[in-house]
Amino acid sequence: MKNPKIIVPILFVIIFCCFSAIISPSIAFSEEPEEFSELMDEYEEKNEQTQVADPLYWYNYGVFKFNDKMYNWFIEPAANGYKFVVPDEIRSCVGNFFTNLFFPIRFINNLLQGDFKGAGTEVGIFFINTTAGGLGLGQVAQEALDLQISDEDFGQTLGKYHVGEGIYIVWPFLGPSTLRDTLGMVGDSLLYPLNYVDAPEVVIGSKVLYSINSTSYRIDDYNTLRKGAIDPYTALKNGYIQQRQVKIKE
Amino acid sequence: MKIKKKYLISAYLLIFVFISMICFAETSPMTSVQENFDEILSILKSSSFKNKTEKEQQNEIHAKLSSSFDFKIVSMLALGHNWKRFSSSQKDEFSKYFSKLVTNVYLSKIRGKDLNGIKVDYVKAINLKTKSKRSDVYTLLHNNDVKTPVVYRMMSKESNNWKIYDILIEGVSLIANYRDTYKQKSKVSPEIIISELKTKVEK
Repeated sequence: MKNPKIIVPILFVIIFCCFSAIISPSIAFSEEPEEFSELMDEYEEKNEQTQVADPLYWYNYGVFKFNDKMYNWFIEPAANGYKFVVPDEIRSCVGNFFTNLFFPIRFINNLLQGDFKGAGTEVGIFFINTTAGGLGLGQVAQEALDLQISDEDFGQTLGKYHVGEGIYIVWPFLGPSTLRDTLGMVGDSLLYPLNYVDAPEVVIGSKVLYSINSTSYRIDDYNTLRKGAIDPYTALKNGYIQQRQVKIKE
Repeated sequence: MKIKKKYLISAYLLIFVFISMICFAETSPMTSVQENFDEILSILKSSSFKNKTEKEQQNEIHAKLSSSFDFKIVSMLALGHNWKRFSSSQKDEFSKYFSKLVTNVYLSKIRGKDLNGIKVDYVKAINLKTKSKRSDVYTLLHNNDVKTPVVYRMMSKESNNWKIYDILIEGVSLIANYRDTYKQKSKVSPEIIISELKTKVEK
């Protein structure tokens, strides 16, 4: 060896490489190392939190099947046709209009949950969008002032105060719900201005328009669920419960 | 001689720095998600992809997703307690078909979409204080008008190779969703669970 000094760094590098080579495979290739049990436990705990009793299973399953067919035969084609005919700008205005009408529900539930800042923001958004936004057709407050709505409802309020889900209920047309969220829906309907209009055709018509309009934005979400799920009934139930729990935490 | 010594020391330092860079280079979990997503998007947008048959498209995306997901952990978490009942070849088989199911669902979701209207905001990455090296990457997916919060849950088993093990869409965990389904199959044999999954994938 001409220059023995070069041996030192080379040796160092070789030792270093060997050392890292010994360490990494033991982490990478051992079957189910202990640290994964932590992950396993975490998901098991999460699963237990999302368990909601389903004593009405046979009724629920029947309604689920009914809704599934309704979606296939009527709602999806209607939403597709609507999306094809109605320009994006109008669809967005329709959505905004309804969002603005739901203001009392959000406002009261923000208050009930003690979120005064959120309630204040709701008031601000409502007045700006109703005036400058043209009866809520535009979302000036969100776009120009970067204000955010906080989508609270009475079911979430009850959840915040530790009212449990009760049991799982599937409603015709409305889809998955729980006893708690059904109570919430009844409470919220008292705060929805269009329910006080003394003309059933307006009330029902507006509900159909609202649901077709919102479905037009997520037409294939339900199909994706059906395509991906091993058991669509359980997948929908679990998805609903998870989503509500996330919203309550927010 | 003096110059030579200096040269040697700097060479030594350089080698050391270089080696440590290779060994410790941290691809951040967020960069990893971003790179994966950009790659998939460019594959989907390419004209050569559009001319392929459905089967070829599935295979191509499957290969890509297999390198960004850790389907072994995905399968383990989805199967829950059933996992222990599976032999190691059954585990592999389940992972294989489960990864195909994820691919098919992913592709059916994206097919026919205007991909130019898709944009992603990479919001934040939160490293979890867990025994294993984990990180949650928060993103906001813009699909034309619709915004969807998507969280990629990642784990790094090897020195810095981040892999996805779960995706939360609007807070809903996909893996937790499957876990709930498989929880009810605690009495069903692994063979039947696998064949059920296989039928679903090949349908």
